[in-house]
Amino acid sequence: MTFTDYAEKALKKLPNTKSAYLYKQEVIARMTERANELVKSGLSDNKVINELIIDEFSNIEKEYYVRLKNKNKKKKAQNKGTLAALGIIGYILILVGAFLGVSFVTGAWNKTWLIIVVGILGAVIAGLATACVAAFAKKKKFAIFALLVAIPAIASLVYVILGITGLLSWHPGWLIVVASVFVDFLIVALRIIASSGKKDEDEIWEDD
Amino acid sequence: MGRRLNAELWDKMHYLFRDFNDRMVHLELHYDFEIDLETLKTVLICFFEKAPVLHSRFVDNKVSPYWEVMPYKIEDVITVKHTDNVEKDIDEFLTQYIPPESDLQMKVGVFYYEGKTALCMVENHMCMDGGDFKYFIRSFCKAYSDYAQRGISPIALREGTRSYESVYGNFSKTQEKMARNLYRNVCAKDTHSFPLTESRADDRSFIARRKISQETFLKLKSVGKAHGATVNDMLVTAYFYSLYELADYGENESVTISCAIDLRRHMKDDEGQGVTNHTAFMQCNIPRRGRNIFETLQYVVNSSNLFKKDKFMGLYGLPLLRFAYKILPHSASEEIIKIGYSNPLLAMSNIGILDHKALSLNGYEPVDGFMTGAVKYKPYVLLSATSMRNVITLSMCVRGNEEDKRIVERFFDIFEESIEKLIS
Repeated sequence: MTFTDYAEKALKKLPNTKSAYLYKQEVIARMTERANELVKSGLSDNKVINELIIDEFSNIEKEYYVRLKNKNKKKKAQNKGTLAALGIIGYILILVGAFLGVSFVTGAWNKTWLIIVVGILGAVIAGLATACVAAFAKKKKFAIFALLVAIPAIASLVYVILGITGLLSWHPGWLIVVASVFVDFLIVALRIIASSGKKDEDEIWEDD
Repeated sequence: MGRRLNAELWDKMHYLFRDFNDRMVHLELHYDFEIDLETLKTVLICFFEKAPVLHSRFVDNKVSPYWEVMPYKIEDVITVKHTDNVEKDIDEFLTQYIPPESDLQMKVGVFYYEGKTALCMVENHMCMDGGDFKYFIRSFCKAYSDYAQRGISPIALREGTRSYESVYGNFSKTQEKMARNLYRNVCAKDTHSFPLTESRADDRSFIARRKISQETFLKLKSVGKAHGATVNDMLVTAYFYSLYELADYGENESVTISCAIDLRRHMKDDEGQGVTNHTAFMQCNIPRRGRNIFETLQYVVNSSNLFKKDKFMGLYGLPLLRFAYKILPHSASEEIIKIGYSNPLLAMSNIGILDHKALSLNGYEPVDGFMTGAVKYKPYVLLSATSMRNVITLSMCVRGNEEDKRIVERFFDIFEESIEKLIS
């Protein structure tokens, strides 16, 4: 059986599309290249060469669908990235628009710059919080570390926003940041207690 | 740039062992006919393609090493010679060293003499251990016979993962979790060593061997059975007993020998497994020599049974190694591991049976053969044992001098005496 015959037979269920056709040609080219490599290595029995290569390329139909899936995944990720970029640009434009609009209407340029600062810091807080929630939702192994980093980070940003806007005095407002570190310690302690409880379960299992 | 293969945990560990041994695994088989070279070449090329690590070079880029698959010519793999001095030529071939950066990780020697053939193989331990090397040569011989007799293409060699994690495949979820949390350093700390000379510039690799006859082997088996001991226990006992005499250890000194164990005992089947390493060490310790060799035997059996009861035998330390390799760049991991790792001064590897039927080529069974581990650099030693047709071949590969050869031969003499004591 030639490589072309094999590829035609193995890929006969593929849809009649351009990508399927190009894939078929690529497979045949790769098989031919492999045959040349084997000949250079010193293999002279054509039957063995054929069978060895066909065995190597035994999953070409599955490989096609995996490739298609990865291509679609990549396209989705690219679209997501584009949407995110457009979203960020749109948000910045809204912020700048709001800043300019309020400034021209009120004339309070010495205060309206806070719209931009609060807007950006608020977006960072939202980003950190979203990343944390996503890590826990997907049950990522080190989600707890994301939380331990996010809590003091968010507290610091909130402190800055409240301080800048004059809603909270800088002193003793800094206590928010200290409190957030205590929250971190509390989370770690609760986690350790929860883990040691689970360890007892494993020991019981071992006894059994 | 060629295709890349993962450098697995044991690949990296055996690379780390370059300070302690030359990483070569050796095989020698004798046949009473002349092997057909073209058939051998065809089978070998097919097997090299099925196990591409055998024609790859190890790239240690200090951060994340890998194997790079390289093109090759079969003439570079095989050495063919018609010889009048087959022992000398075999010795020269077997004691060669293959650098990990070489494009080929296995070399095959075909030595024709008096109408017979000595088939020799040397391969890098980073690619596979004794267990998989035995599988490789069995499959090779079957493929040779099938191709020569029936024209069946020689492509039947397992392919798949080379990862160490396959050892967990047969565990339940809970057991696997427990096994993956065995963060324990289980290295030997014993300072008792084999009494070789100091390293010198003129040290050369040599392979010393001694055979134990079929008659003795069968007696050893039956005596072992009577004492609840395996053949391995009997050999380890003789090893201990001989060492105390050779190295003049105190009778009441506790000594440890690290015994290689095949971690495939934890795997249900080998489907989807590529040729790789799955060997760890268990520390066989005796508290004292014992009043006689049978007391030594009892100590060995007790120690060995303790390990056999452990369902996680040999798996300690793997999570620690994985952690070290995962969190740090490779060069840093090596330095950290070297701090905690203590290479055993005394080691034993019972590679097991070389099945003469399974190793037949085109109907010709091998008349003799053995397999042995790496050449150890002083002061480390490894005693290897294989058996064929109920004849045990003990071997010790050392980089040493003539005095070291005499010491090893003396060790074998005492070993034989110990075996005689066991079976008398």
